[in-house]
Amino acid sequence: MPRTYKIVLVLISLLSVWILNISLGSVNIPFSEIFDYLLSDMNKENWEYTIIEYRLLKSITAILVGSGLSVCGLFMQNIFQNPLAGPYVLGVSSGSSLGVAVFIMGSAFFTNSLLGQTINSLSMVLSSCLGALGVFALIMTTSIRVKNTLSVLIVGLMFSSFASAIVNVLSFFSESEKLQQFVFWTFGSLSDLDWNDIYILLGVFVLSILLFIKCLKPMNSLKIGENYAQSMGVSVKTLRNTVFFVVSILTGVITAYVGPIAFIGLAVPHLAKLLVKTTDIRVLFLYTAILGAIVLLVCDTIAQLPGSQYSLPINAVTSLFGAPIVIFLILKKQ
Amino acid sequence: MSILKLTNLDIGYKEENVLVKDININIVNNKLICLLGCNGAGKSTLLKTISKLMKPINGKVELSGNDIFLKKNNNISKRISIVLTDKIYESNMTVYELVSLGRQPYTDWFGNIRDEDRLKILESLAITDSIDLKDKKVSELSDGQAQKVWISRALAQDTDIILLDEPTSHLDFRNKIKIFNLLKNIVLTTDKTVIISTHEVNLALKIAEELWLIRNDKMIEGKVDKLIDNEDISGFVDSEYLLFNKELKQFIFKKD
Repeated sequence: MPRTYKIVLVLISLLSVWILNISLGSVNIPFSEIFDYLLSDMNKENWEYTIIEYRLLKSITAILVGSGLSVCGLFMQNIFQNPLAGPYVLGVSSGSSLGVAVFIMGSAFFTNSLLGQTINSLSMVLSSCLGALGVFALIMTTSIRVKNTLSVLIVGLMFSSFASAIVNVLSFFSESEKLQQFVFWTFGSLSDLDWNDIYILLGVFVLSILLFIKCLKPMNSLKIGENYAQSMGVSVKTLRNTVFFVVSILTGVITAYVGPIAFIGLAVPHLAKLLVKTTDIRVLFLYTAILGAIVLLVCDTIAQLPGSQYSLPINAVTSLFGAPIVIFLILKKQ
Repeated sequence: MSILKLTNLDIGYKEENVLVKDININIVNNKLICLLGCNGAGKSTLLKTISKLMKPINGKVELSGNDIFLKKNNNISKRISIVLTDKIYESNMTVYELVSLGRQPYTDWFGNIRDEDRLKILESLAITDSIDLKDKKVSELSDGQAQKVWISRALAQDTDIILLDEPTSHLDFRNKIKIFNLLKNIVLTTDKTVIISTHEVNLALKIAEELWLIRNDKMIEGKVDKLIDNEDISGFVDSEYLLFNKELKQFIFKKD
């Protein structure tokens, strides 16, 4: 079957992009060294290995983030029955940003400086999740009233501008040091995580994926509309609520760690649809998850500007890649 | 054993605005029923209430003796299937994919299609004479073909009752007759009950065994001949241009 070939091909590309991502950067490391590192014990003290470990962490982050945001996008597009939905476009990421902005810049008012580093990073994750939940809840409520595809998008845009207005007000009153911290966070960075953060991210990712998989069958019937889905025994309300929570939490956690990453969630499900010409969401889910990882690894590799010592903000690269896809989709719809 | 029983049923969206009051119906053996009424009379509302897509304002809906609005009878997906006029988001799917969705109430948690499901899907496509369409995309079908495919999906769901909301509204006259005949044949060859809401009064008079007429928030039901004899039909279409002809059992235009 051609689909079996396709999945093997996609998995091989994931593996090669991953290795490429680790080996490229401001310092060139030969492939053999990377395999040496991966296959031997990890305690060797060598500056090259330190770099590899740094890059390995970053690449794992890229895989989890790319994959996570993409499946969130796929579920949002199907729940809203809107091909242009995604965590970034509908303002869920902005909600996270608002949460983080309140946390970083408003923290002067309510944090105790004696709190440890871990607790701080966890509470940042928490406030990010709360922001995402808040905005998503608002969008869900409006989308029940407004069925029109474009209206929901515009409402999402409005929520984003509302959130960024509040962020602006906060920035205006905050110290320059905290403002700088926040601005750097908004650029997006895959390299700020340590192993502890990765474990938390991985835990949330695996749980979300499991919950998503449980929703796949009812999501398939939602393709032909809520009434039909309900007549086939699907509780649309429960399904909506589950997707709402999982998407908010996963987007919230991801955004807290790496900043708001643009367009991945919107664009990757469409790439998956182009690759496997099916509407079966169970198949699309698998490909979206893998392609999401590949795309973000590629974006990150480009962001490192191989051979130079500079690196671009990851958000700039994903926008360069994602915005044209959105325009293409709108043109195709006409 | 009663297939469908409606008791003192009041339907509508809001309590202060009841569309149809006090509906009492008991269907004992399978038949073709046409539901007639003006725009906004409550035809769709009635179908949605029977299929549990909305709650009644008062009264009971029972399928094989089970009240469908009780918690323990939560899932009626193996008893009632529907064909609606809703537009769909994913028109890129193939006919086969669409019809196979009808098997969802019978598949496992992941929705795996087994051999017996495949057989049922092909059988459902065969009944509506749509096997040739199975690899086409739903968006490529003509309105007549699409309607047959949606009926196949409902057949694949393998239920006692199929409800259709204005299934012929976009079709040309030839296709209207085709769809009605197809539904009639389904009732004759299987043990299913088919309930169609429609504006095609003349076709309904020809093909249905029983009519449900909604008029001024009341529902009158009965065999076609009985309703003709009672003059319920002739009073039903209130138009200065039309006349009911008892011999032909249809409405005809008045002479100028």
